Amino acid sequence: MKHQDWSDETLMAYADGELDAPVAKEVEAAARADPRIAERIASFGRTRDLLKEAARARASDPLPPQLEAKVRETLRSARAEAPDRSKVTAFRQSWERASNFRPTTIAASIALAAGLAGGFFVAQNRDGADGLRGAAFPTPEIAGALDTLASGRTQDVDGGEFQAIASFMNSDGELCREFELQAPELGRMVSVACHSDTGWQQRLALIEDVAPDGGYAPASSLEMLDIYLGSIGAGAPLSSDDEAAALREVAR
Amino acid sequence: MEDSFEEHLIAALPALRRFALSLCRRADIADDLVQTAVERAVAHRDQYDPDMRLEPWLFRILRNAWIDQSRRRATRGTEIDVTVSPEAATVDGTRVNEARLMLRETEEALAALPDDQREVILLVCFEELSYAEAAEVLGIPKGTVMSRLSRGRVALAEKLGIS
Repeated sequence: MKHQDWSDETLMAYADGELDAPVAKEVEAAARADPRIAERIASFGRTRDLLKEAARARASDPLPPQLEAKVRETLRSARAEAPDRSKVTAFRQSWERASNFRPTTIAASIALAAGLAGGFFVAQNRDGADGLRGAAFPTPEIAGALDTLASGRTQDVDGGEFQAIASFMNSDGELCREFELQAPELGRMVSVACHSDTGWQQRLALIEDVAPDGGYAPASSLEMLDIYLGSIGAGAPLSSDDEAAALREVAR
Repeated sequence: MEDSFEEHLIAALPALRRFALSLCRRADIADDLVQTAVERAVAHRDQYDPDMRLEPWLFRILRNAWIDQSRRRATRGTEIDVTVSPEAATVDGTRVNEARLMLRETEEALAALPDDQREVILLVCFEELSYAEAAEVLGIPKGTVMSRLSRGRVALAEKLGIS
């Protein structure tokens, strides 16, 4: 006979002291009546103790003094330059800081588009719209990569490089994928596409003109991405298994 | 003068770095990650709810920074497991005391768990966050935290022969 009335989660929560008093009392009674339940609880207690021990062993690693010094410096300079801390101000300041930091490499040509079906125009500030520039997104090749490519991997598409970044569900239950596209005529585009009944739809594109040698997306464009992801109720990135399952699901 | 937000932030640095190390397993990247998280925390400190504990909020920022970075860098091929100390690696086998052996086995078993289970274990059992706080850090429901945590710990107990 199994003690099916009590899930592992509940017994673990009891061992961790996370249960409300009434439920904890019931679990206690059950454990007194059934030694297997008591043993199950004890096993969760043992893993907890063992992991605590392991944590203590790791904790002996001291904080590097340079790191602490750097952090204190960050706090000091933040104090000096930001007495007023409204949300917008904080964001604008960090944006301006990033722009000042690399004025020549970032032309700040950011196209922010939400929910455009069909044709989507990428940055308009250069001549010679060819290749990826001005193409309807997602192209068949990009849609193909969105269908199959695991996050963290790259693939050549349409003369550029496609990198799958992460997959997640939005609050409407659609599978969304964040990806980057890099091509000589495009620069770097950080983008989010979601899968609806009609296939992949590009929902967001942040385009940066970066130096030809590549280089990182500035923190501020990632902050903008964070704000966007927050606005669509994006869940945590799917694990690779969950992602593979979700991609199989949309492929059907 | 440091205000209390800053004092708390400084006090949280060791835990923050430990969490960073558990995510990226490289000391240099972990330090950068902590610094990035601090910068973001300072820039967005108006979004911090002073009624909540600071650590979970910082962990969440750090984890998001890690996701941003890891999806832009391929570090996986060069990861070094810093949790194995030189001592532990060079013992000759006969003088290993049992506690240390168990610790090593625990680390190995932990490393073999799926990422999502390990992450929850680190937050709850290493950093002693509540289930609700871990859920907040990871942006998942508390029920999911509990199922991942229990599955991870059951698997760990079985691997270590203590179930």
